[in-house]
Amino acid sequence: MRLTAKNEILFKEEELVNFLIKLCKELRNKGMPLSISEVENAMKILKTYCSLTGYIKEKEQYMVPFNDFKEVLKAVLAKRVNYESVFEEVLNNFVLKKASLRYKIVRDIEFNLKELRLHYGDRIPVAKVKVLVKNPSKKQAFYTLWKLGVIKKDSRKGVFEIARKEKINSIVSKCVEHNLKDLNKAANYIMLKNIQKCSLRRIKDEKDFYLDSIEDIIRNKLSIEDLPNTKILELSLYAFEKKRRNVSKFLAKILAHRILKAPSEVKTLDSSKLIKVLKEHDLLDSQIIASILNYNPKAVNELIKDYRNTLLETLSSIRLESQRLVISKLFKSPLSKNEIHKIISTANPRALSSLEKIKYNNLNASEQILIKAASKLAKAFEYYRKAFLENNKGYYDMANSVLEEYHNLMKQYSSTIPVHKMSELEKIVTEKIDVLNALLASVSSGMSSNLPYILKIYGAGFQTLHLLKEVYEAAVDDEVKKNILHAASMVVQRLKTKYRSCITTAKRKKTKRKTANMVIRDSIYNVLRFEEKPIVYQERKKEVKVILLVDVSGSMREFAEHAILIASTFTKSISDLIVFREYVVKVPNRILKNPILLVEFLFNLKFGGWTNIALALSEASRRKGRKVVVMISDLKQTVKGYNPLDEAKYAVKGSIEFIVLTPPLHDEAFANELKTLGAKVYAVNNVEDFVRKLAYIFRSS
Amino acid sequence: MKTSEGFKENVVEKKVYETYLSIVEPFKPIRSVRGIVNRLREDFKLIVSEKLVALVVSAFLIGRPVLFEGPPGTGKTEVGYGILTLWAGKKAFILPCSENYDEYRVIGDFHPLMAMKMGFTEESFVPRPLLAALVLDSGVLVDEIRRSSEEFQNMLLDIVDKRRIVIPELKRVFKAKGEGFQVIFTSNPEDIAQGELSDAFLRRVVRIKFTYPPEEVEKEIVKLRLGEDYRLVSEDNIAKVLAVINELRSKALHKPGPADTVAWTQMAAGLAKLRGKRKADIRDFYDAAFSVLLKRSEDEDVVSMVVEKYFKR
Repeated sequence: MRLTAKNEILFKEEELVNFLIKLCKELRNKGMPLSISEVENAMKILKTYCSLTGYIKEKEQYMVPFNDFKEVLKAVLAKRVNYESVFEEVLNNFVLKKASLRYKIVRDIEFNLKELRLHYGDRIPVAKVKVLVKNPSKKQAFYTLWKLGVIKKDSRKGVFEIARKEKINSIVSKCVEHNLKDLNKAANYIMLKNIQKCSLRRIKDEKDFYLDSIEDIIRNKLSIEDLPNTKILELSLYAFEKKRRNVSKFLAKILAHRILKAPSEVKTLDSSKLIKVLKEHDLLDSQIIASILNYNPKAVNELIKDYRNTLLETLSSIRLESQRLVISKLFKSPLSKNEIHKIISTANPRALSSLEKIKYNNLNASEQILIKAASKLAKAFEYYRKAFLENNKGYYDMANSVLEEYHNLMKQYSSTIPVHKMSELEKIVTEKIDVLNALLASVSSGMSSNLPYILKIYGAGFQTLHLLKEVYEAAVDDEVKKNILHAASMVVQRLKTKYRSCITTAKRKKTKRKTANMVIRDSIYNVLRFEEKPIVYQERKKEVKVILLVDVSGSMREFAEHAILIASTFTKSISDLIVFREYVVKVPNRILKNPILLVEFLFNLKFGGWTNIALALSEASRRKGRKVVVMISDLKQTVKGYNPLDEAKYAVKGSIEFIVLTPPLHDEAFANELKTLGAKVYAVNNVEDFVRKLAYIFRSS
Repeated sequence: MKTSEGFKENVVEKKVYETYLSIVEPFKPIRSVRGIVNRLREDFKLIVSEKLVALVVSAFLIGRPVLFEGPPGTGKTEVGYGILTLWAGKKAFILPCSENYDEYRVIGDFHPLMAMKMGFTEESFVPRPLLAALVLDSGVLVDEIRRSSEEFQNMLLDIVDKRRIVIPELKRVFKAKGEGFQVIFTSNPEDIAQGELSDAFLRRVVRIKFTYPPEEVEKEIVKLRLGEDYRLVSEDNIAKVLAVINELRSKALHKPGPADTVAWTQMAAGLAKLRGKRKADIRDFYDAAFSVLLKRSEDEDVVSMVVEKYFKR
């Protein structure tokens, strides 16, 4: 859709629809109440008008004088005298300004071509361009046209081709569509879109050009949110090779940030390149290392040398498979006794299977035998599990033979070492062996004699619950699973008691007891009707519902689990529990009320993925009635295409109170915006603080 | 064309044809834009742009009523009436609105004595113009819609939208049979003592704004309206008349429209004829001016000042 030199609007039907929708959106923003039916009418009447007056060109194109176009639309869209000026202003902005912008862009393109002494349709050899771009102003002009797509490189022929005049219409339309007034900005914008689409090989072929472009894009503060990680990594690496440290660091920071938000992104990246870039800019912290190892365990080879201490720290937060690999790699290098102690205590018992062949001079013989026994037991467990899951007799035989080795080692250990002389390391390994025994029993039917033992070791806390979850996932027999759920429900009950007791320590506001208002009309009627004892009617206080929104993305795991359990403790105060990540799920009340169902729900809940706060807020806004909305989230909207602030406005407007509890690390800008909207935002320092605050909110509501 | 003979059983239609057919004077409808413009010029002595007619016809074709808005004397009613008449091929009905206008006055009513005798039957029913227009497939011009109540506007919109009238007492639904049944509303937003039109009403109509025409068009209108009498007025005096009118539009409370320009010139030409002159002079224009231009006592000074400026004796 465009304005011709004769002041005529040239458009196709589908273009007209888009144009009218945008125009009406803008008019609504200016206060004109326009409905969809008016948009439809405007389109119909314009088409009929063009047919009646003969303003139809070939190929289903309409060409109508701008004044006619304006009058027809005005008749349908501007229905009041005071709307006429608004309509004219908006329409002129939409059409005339765009036309002048179009003219300006074409003029600027032609100016640049003139500066380079080139014409539309020209071809120039690459060698000549190399000479041409030695002049900085000409280089700028050439690169701008290249980025815009006015100039294209034909590598096979070894020439640069300048587009023909008819071809630049689409380029200019793109600029006009995005209201890009400055040619350089337009070039950067179009280049950014090109980088998104082009292949890695193309970037590799034209490193300098792409690096220059990305540098300009960063300098002009264009958002590179949509640029894929693979391209960011490549560009960062090239920038580093070309000694453009600032560009390289900027891109590496974006990568690090993205990995923290969505660790699974690591899968798509070359880990050695990634580690190289992050390492050069000192961006490898424990969280990023954990993310890398979770999705790419082999990356440990590149990390083991320089990041041994960080690996030790992150061991507990990485996945089982990665843990095994990391442990075996760590044990291949010399370790102090303290380090060994730390590894074994933090590692998952199942990960001990990788310690089968260790030989350490700084461990005594009994410790070595015990660790070896633990690794055999872990291995036996894995074989048994596979045997059960795949119904494979071979695994079963292997499991039996490994288990026999374990028994032999334990016999050897108990015969040589008296119990009262156990070292600290041995105590830890023994505990792990107990857990492994419990796990082993869980894969063979009719077990769970060891479950009370696990509960005794770990107490009624989340650690026990997590361990039970592991056992639950390992178990294959339904009866065993049922027993585990039962044991876990006991833990949950104890946790609930803890939450209740937590309230007594939380400060409670002293409030005056309010008397309810008397309903005069009903009371008088009652007195008149029954002459004896009159009944006085009083207003009943309306119930306030609490809607709890819990973010179950990866970073919120710790808080989310507590929040769900607290919600189940105060079921009377809560109307809806909604958990959300990239999708939203309403937890049914029967799950909250039944401990076994609750445990099952917790065990099956998958933490991780993206976060869509906007969706959760819209879900809360949809619920009718008086309500208090409590949201537990780090306020980081990672799903694109949604505006959480808009939804928050509705949520604040529709609820009598809007409370947000955030962990220490959260999106502060969004939190401040929520505060200005009238929401109460509390940043909690730790889990205990969080539990107290949330329990208090429920109790007081 | 059907006659009342064709409706032996449908009493209401029979009554409509008996009462209103002679009024509408059917002829062949004109459905082309240029045809309508030409006939408006020839038969109705109206100068209307093709754009306006095309817009009105487009609205008719997509099934939307039209609202003519503008200052008084700009020809809204005449143009509306002309277009509706030519489009339907029958003289349009005009409903001049007032506050107490209601469905009984526009759709139909029951004759009280007959209703007492026969009950609410078709025999006791008296059809009114809107129903007649629907049955006869003729246009309706709802004049000064702002003067009517909101309920009345909503009722009209429902009828125009669905192109049917329901009369529950008769258990009958009358549906429009052709494209001739179209509605044009007129309104003057600057007129005092009028209600506002609701958003719901405005959403359904296509609004066309009428303004004072440019000088050359206004001169053309005068020429067309005066016909043979145009030879009685000189070009010089016409130019002065238009200057006075334009000045009064910016200064006076009552803003004269093209209709006033025509009336003034016609009166001056008439006076000249009475006085036995070959051409109307300054005196004729001066004498005719006040009776046409002075509509409000507050404007007395302004009108005399402006008229004397151009037609000083």
